[in-house]
Amino acid sequence: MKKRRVSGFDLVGYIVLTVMMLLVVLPLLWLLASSFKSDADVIKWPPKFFPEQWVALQYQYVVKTIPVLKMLGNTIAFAGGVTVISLVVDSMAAYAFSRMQFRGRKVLFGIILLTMMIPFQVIMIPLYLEEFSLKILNTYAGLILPRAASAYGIYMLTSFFTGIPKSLDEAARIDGMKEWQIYTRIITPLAKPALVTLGIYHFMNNWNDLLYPMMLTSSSDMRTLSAGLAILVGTNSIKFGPTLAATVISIAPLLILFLFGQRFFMEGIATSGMKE
Amino acid sequence: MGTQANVLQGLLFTCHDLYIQAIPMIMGEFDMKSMGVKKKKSGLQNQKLAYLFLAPALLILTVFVFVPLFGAVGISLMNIDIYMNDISFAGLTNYIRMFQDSRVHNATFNTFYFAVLEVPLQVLLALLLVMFMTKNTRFHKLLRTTFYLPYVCSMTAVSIMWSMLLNQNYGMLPYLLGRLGIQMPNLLTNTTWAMPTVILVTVWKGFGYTLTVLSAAALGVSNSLYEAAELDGATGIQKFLYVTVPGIRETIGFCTVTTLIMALQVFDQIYVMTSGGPQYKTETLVGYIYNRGFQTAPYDLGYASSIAVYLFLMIAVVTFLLRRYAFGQGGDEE
Amino acid sequence: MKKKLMCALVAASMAASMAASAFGGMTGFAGESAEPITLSVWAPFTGSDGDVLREIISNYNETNTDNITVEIDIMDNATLQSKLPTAVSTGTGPSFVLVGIEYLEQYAQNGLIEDISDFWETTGVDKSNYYENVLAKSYIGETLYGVPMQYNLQYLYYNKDIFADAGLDPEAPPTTMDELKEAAVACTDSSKHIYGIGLPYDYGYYCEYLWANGGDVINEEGTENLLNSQENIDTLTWIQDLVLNEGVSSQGLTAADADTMFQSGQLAMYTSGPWNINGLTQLGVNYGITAIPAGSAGAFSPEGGCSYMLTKGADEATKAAVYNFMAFWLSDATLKEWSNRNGFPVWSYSVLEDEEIKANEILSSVSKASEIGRDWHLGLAIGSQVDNDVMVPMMEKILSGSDVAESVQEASDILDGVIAGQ
Repeated sequence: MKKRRVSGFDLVGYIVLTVMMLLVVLPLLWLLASSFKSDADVIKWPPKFFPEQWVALQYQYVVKTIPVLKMLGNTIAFAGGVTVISLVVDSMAAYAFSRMQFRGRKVLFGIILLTMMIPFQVIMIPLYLEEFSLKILNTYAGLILPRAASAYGIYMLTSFFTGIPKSLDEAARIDGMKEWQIYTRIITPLAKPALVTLGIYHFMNNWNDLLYPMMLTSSSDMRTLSAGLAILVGTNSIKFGPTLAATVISIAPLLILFLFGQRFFMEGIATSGMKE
Repeated sequence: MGTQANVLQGLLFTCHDLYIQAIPMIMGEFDMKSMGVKKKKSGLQNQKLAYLFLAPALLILTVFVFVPLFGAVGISLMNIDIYMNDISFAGLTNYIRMFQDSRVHNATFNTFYFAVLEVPLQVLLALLLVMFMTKNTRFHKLLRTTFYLPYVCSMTAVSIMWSMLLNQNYGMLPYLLGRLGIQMPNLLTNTTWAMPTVILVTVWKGFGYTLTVLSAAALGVSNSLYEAAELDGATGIQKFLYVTVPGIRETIGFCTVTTLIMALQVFDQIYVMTSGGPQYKTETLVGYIYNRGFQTAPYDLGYASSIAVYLFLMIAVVTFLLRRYAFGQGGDEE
Repeated sequence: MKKKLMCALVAASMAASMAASAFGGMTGFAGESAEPITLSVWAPFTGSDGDVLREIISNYNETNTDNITVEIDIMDNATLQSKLPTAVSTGTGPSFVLVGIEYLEQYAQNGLIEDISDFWETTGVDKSNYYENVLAKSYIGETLYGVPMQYNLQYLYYNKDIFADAGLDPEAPPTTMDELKEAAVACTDSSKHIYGIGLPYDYGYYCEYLWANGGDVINEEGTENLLNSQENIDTLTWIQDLVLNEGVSSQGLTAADADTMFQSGQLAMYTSGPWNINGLTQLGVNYGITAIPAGSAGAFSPEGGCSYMLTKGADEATKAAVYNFMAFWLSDATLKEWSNRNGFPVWSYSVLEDEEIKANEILSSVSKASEIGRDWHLGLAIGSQVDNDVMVPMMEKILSGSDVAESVQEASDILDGVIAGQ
C-alpha cells in the first residue's frame, strides 16, 4: 500500500520534471541551432527547427562588426570587479546585521532594503552627473563602485548567516577570537555556498546588464559585451540572424564558467545543511 | 585595460585587508580587555565595531544610491526637462498632475497585475519542483543545472528569443500548434494575452534561480525530521508540506520579497517584447517613467521623477507589509 | 536639492569650458601641421545601413591626410536620446552626432548643437549642388545647424514573384489606393500564409494614407488639430476594412514583423523607408519599389532624413575636423557609395549625372518615387508626442476593431491636450 503511493508521487515527479526540462531546453536548443541558420532560413515560413544548411555566417558577421574580445575583457573586468568587491562589502555588512548588537540595527537594515526598490531609470541622470563631478565617468571605477554594495546581497547573506549556529562563534569568542577573526575564519568559510550563489548572481546580473553600462560609458572602448551586442537590435530593424548569434556569444562564456564551476557550486549547496 | 582593472582590484583588495586589520587597532582598547568586562562598556565597543563593519556598504549605498535618489526627489519638485534649461520650482504640481493622469492609474494596475501573478507563479513553481527534487541524485543535479540555464541568459536575449518563437508569422510555436489544429492569437500583440505572455516568459527565466536558493535551503533541512515523518507514514506531499516548507519558510519569505521588489520594477522584457502595447495593456510604471522622461517630448524629467517617487513609496509600503504580516519576522531578525 | 543639481551643472560647464579652452590653446599653435585628432560620433544606425556607414568611416580614417580619426559609437536611438543632453551639458558628449532631422529643432533650441552657418564658406562646398528641400531641413530660419547625411521618404515595396503568381503584372505596381486594395486582395493566399499588404498597428506613417484623401493630422505650425475630419474617418475605415474584413493583412502585425514577412516572401506589399533595401537585396528577394499610391487628393509621402550635427562646446580644432568629415560626406564619391549600396535616394545634382547611378534600377525607381515628399508632424517639437500619444494608440484601436469615429474623436481630444500643453 505504502510503497505504491510513494511510487505514484515519484512518477508524477518524473513527469513534471521532464516536462519542465523540455520547456527549458527546447527553446535554448532552438536558439543555438538557429544561430547557425542563414538570414533567409531564420525567418522562413514554415519554420524549421534545425538549419537547412549549417553556416557560421552570423558569427562571422558579429565578430566583424563588434570588437568582441575587447568587450569581453571589459565585461570580465566590470562583472568580475563588482562580484569580488560586492561579496566582501556585502558579507561584512551581513556579519554586522546577523552577529552584532547595535543601535539602529533594524532601521539601518530597512534603509538598506530601500535601495533595492529604486529602478535604475530613475536615478540614471543624477548618477551620471554625480560620476561626472567625481571624475569617474567612463572608467572601470565608475562602472564598479556604484555596484560595489548590494542590498540584495546584504539581505541574502544576513539571512544565511543568521542560520549559522551561534554556538560556533560563542565558542570562538571564549577562545579569545576577535570579531574580525570570527568573520574571516569562521563565518565566511561556513557561508561558502551562499557566497558562491551570490557571487554567481552578481556576476550574471552585471554581465547581462544593458542600460547601466550603456549610460555610464561614453565610448565603445569601455562598452561591455551585452551593451555592445545591443547594437544589432535596433529600433528600425532587428537583424535576427546576428542577434541570435550575438545572444549565444554573450551567454557562452557564462555557461562555460557555470558548468566549469558547477561541481563546486552544487556541492556547496549540498553541504549547506547546517541548521540546528 | 585589463591591467588597469587588475591594479584597481588589487588596490581594493589591499584596502579591504588594511581595513579589516585596522579594525582591531582602532578597537585596541577593546582588545586589551578580557572577555569578561562590564556588559555596558563592551556593548558600546561592539556597537562601534558593528558600524565599522557596516561602513563600506553604507558609504557606497549612500553615495551611489541615496544621493542620486535625493537628486531624483529634488527633480520631481521642479519643472525640468531632459535638456535642463529653464528650470523652475514646481512644488507639488507634478504630483497633483500624476494623480489625474489615467495612464499612471493604468500603469499602476498593470504593475500590480504583473507582480501579483508573476511572484506567486515563480515561487510556487520553484517550490513544486523542489518538492520533487529533494534528493541529491545525478538526475536531480542535472535538473538543477538545466533549470538554472535560462537565468544565465540576459533578459533581453530571453525576450528576443521568445518574441521570435511566439511570433505568428514566422514563429515555431504557432506553426506547430497550427499543425495540431490549434489556432492561437498573436500573443504579444493581443490585448488579453500580451501581459500573461510577458509574465510567463519572466517566470521561465527566473524560476531556476528561486529554485536554486530554495533547494539550497531544503537540502539543509535536517534529515532526522524526514526520517521521523517517514516513520509516521507521511507521503511525499505530506513530508514536503509539513517538513520541508516549514523548514525553509524564511528562505521562501526572502525569495518572495526580493522577487516582488524586482517584479514591481519590471521593464526590460516589456521594453523588448511589447514596448508597453498593445493599447497600453503592458505599460508598467517604470515603462511609463522611461517613456515620459526619455522617449516622448517634452522629455519631462520632473514629471517622470514624481512618478518614480510614487513607485518607490509604493514598493516600500508593499514590501514592509509583506515582511511584517505575511512572513512574520523577515530574514534580518533572529 | 535644486542647488546641488545646479552645482553639479555649474561644475560641469566650468570643467567643460576649462577643458575646451586648454585644448583650444594647445591646438591654436598647431595651425596647419595636422595634429592628430580623434572625433567621436554617436549614431543610432543599428540596421544593415550601419554596416555600410562604418565601412565608409573606416575608409575615411585610412585615407584622410589631415590626421583625423572618427570613432563611431552606434547605439539604440532611445539610449542615444536619453544620454545625449546630459552628456553634452557635462562636456562628456561626442564631437558630433548623426540623428534624425526631427531632433534638429529641439537640439538647437536647447543649446545642444552649434550654429554651423559658416560651413559652406569655410569648406568651399558648393551649396547649390544639393537639393534645396533636403538642405532646408537642416536650417532653422537662416541658421544652419546640420549637414544632411541622407534623405528619405516612405515607399511602396512589392514582391514581384507574388504579383506574378497572383496573375498581376510585376512591372505595373498599384498607383492608386483603389488599385492597392485590388492588388492586396488578389495577392492574399492564407493557405500559403501569404498576405497582400502589411498594415502594422505601430507603423508611424499613416499620415500618408490620410493625406492621399485630403486629410491630415496637424497643421504645419503644430497649432491646429486637423485629425477629426470626415476624410480621415473614411480613410481609416477603409484601412480597418482591409485588415478586419478583407483579411489582406495579418492581424496584430507590428512594423518589425512586416519587415520580416516581406523579407521571407510572405507579404506582397508594404510601405517602409529605404533602409530595408540593402537587406532585401542581400536576401535575394525579387522586389520592386514604387511611390506611395495616390488617393482622391493625390499622392504624398512623409519626408525624413538624418543630419550630422556639431555638438555644443566644440573648440576650433574639433570644429575644423568635423567640417572636414562633413565635407567628405558631401563629396560625390561618398554620396554615390551610400546611395548605390543602400538605395537611399540621390540628392546631389552631380551624383545624379553619374552613369553607375543612372544604371542602378532600384535607385532610379527610388529617386522617381521620391518626388512626392511632404513635411509632417515629426519635425515639430511635439512630434514624438503626437506619434506616441495620439497616432499609434489610435491605430492600435482601429486595427483591433474599435469604432473608427469614436477612436478618432478620442485621439483628437488627446491631440488637443498635446497642442495646448506645448
